[in-house]
Amino acid sequence: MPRQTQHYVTLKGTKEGLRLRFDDECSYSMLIDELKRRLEEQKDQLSSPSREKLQVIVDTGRRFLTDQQKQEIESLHESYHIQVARFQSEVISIEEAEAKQKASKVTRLAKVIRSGQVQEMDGDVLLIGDVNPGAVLKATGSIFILGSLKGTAHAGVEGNIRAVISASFMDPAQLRIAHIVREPPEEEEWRGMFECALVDDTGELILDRAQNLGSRRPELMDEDR
Amino acid sequence: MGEAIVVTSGKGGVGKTTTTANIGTALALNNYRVCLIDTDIGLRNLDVIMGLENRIIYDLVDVAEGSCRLQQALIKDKRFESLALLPAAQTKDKDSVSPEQIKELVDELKQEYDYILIDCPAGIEQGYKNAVAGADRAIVVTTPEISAVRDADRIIGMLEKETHVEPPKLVINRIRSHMMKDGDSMDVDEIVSILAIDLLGIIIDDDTVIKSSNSGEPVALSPKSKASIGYRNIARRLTGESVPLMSLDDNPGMFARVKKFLGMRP
Repeated sequence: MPRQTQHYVTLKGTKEGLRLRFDDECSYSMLIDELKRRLEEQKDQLSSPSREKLQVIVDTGRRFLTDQQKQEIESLHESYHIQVARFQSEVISIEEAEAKQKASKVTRLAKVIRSGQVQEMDGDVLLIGDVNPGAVLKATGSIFILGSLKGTAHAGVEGNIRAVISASFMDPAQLRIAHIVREPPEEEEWRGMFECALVDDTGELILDRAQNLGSRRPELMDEDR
Repeated sequence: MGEAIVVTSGKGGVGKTTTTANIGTALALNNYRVCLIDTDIGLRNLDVIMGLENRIIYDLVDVAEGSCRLQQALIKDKRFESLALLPAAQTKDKDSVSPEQIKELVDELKQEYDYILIDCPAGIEQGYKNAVAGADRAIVVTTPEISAVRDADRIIGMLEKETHVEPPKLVINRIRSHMMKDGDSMDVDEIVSILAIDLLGIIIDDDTVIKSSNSGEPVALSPKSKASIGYRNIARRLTGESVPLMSLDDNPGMFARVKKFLGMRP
């Protein structure tokens, strides 16, 4: 009589490469047991002819894996000379979801940030108002100002070097993107209207017309319809 | 029930005390009942500018500590029956009263006076907190200097956090029209655009202000000086009248006025 086994782990070849689909209803320990057994069984088939490691995508479906569990699965594959290219899942934790949402959100502010005030924001910021001399506006993402920037703006505070600063009236005391600081040269020719600041390929913080932002930072656009 | 208005600036020496004395005098001229409070404890000046120094018996700290009644400490003005001054203590410091005490005191004065003008000390520490505690409205005084405007901006930011105070109004003091016209000092529009608050009035720099302060007669009493007109206009605007802003031109002749009418640059 053929043994009736429930397959908790299924291996499938797709266009992207090999995909390991995990059942998301069985217990985690059962899953690991089955994974071990399958890897052991198919050891010979799975070993790639060349010396290169075989890449697999692990699809966990609606199962949520902790970082520790992911590590365990990775090292298990590793012992069979297989590399987990990435984990794919239909679920994420609330924490991750909130962080993602925050990072992709544009926070709107309508106020004047005045001398001595420091405004710190997560994600991108759209300020409708001014940053006055002596004031500081910081954001983990990019900064867009509908008004004048006369104080200090710091975009990409946590190190995002792709962040930009744009203002309809650009006359800043100081600009910073990630760890790069731009102090305006002593005798700067004032240009001012609708400018943007970004870090160019040489790692220097430069000013440019805001109209050029789209070509320099295409990721700023949600979608080009 | 009266209104309490704090006069503040952040920076020292821009003319808070002079402004308080003159707006108070101008309001009294219009028959309002006015009480001036000097909260600059340790560095009092308002009594000197009002010419009332030698009448002081009790002061703000005495009232706050309960050493005397409020009525005993109030000094009636020489010129106006309806104008009174509550002087600051000269020998104590700013920590000798608390914001709560000032608020209580101002609330009591509001029962009897139409306007209570609170002269705020320079700085953003205890003295400022005391002065703002009882206020319903605020006047920010600045001069056309970058440092004064910067400090005014700081103070406006702090006043915005005081929910019991209406959005502050701006007074630009010590305007030198010739420097402004030549672009050597910041102009009115520039200051207003940075500070982004309503302009209550401008005061043109005038030697008579210093002269009259020294003699203890607020300049608002002499009707001819430009500064006096400025203060009177501010007082009228405070009471809700609409008064056009003073022209910076000294004496536009007929020809210049015709040119302006025709839209040509003077």
